[in-house]
Amino acid sequence: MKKDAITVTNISKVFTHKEDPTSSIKSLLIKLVTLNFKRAPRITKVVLQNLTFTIHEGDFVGIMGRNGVGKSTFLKVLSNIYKPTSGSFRTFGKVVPLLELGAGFAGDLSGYENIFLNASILGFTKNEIVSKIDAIIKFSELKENIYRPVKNYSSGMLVRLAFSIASHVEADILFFDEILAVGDVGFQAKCMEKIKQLSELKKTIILVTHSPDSVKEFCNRCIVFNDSGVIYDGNATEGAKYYSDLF
Amino acid sequence: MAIFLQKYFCTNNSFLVYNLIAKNLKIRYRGSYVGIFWTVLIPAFTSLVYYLIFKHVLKVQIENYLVFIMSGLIPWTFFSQTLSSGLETLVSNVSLLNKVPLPPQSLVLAETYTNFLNLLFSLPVLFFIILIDKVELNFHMFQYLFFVGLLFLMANSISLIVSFLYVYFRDLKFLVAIILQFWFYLTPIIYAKTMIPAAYFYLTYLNPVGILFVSLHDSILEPKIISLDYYLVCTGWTLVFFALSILTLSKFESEVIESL
Repeated sequence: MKKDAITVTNISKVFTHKEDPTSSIKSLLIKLVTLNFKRAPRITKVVLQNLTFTIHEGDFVGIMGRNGVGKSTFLKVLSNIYKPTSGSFRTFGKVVPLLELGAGFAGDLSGYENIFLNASILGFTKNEIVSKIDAIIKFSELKENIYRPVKNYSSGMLVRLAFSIASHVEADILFFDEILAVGDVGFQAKCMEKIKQLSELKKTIILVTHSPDSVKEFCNRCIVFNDSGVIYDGNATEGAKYYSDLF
Repeated sequence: MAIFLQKYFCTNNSFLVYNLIAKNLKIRYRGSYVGIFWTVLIPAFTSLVYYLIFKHVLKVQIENYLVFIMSGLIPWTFFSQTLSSGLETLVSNVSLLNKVPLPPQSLVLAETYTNFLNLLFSLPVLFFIILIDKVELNFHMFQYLFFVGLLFLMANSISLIVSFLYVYFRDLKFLVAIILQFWFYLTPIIYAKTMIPAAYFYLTYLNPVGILFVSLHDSILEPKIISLDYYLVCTGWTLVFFALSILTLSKFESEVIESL
């Protein structure tokens, strides 16, 4: 019996937006003059509905689905960025969400300086960075470019640096959100290899992707979302096929 | 309570706050020749302008007027910069807050610290002017540091409040700019408390930083212990805004990211 890594119980997420999101003095004055104190009508959008499932330790789960069905929202809920509207979840172990590579990069700073900034944003401790900085630089293949400001990097170089930092984080549970769409084929393969290694170290990984091939190759489980919730949950090969058949 | 203070001052994220401060400082001064010295030069030159105008054109009768001006203007520069840069912190970091689970208050705190470091860099200049202007040195001057510390808490609290409200109410940016301008002239910074008509002096008590700036002046220029009621008023006002910022944080922290 495998240990639980993430348990999700009846999670729903509903977004409510005001019709006009920017409130200003002008609209306030108009309200006062017209004596209209009704609250602006709110639009609600149900993104996640009653999700319940368990992910086990060491699982490599691929999450698939059309655009806008809430895959990223789901990861944000699990990452504590969004609060679920109802339901609850538990995670066992340290969670590091990698929803965007290079979060908080400052263009004027060098790659080297950005390693410290980005890594501390991802929750590295000082000792972790100091002990891993050489490995990070080596993995990024940036060599002496590491001392140039990142605003002069190509998008491929940026991704390489960002992925190098992210993949050296110490965590038990990792989320990746479609972050490997950039970078050349060689580096993409290297990244997937690195993720696979993490998975072999019994890390629990959730990967949001649109690539049935990566799911087939790396995942042991696939969950397919649609507007009403989970429509497929099971074997990765069949899940990837299920997803391809949606189109 | 201890856990709450830990959260408020991000002690568990101190390495993050440290790196954010380093980023702020590096970005602010990268490519400039004089670099960090600008933070010293700006209040020094502003003080000089006020000194020339008020002392020599308007003939204000305050002794050691340059020391007087600087002892108020350096903290005020910190205060107003913290408010105006803190205000936009959450909104301008939307892409970060949306992707990484970070305590939003850590970004505001880093901004306050950055500006506070600027203040600390300016203090040696104040000390230098104190020597030049032949103000007598004495131990009562250490009271200045207490009031500067209070101002740190005050600035961070107000900055936190406005940065959260700005997410919902974008007019705040312009309001804060206007308010800061009024506030500067309503606070005894370039004029002394003795110049305020007695009938209106109570207004200085109602100004959340009024007595604070009077105390900042007095601790440098009056060689005595500042009266207890000044200490109480300053601490009281600061705690009021500290409490308000705690309320703001607890009310908005869970939903602010979705509203950005």
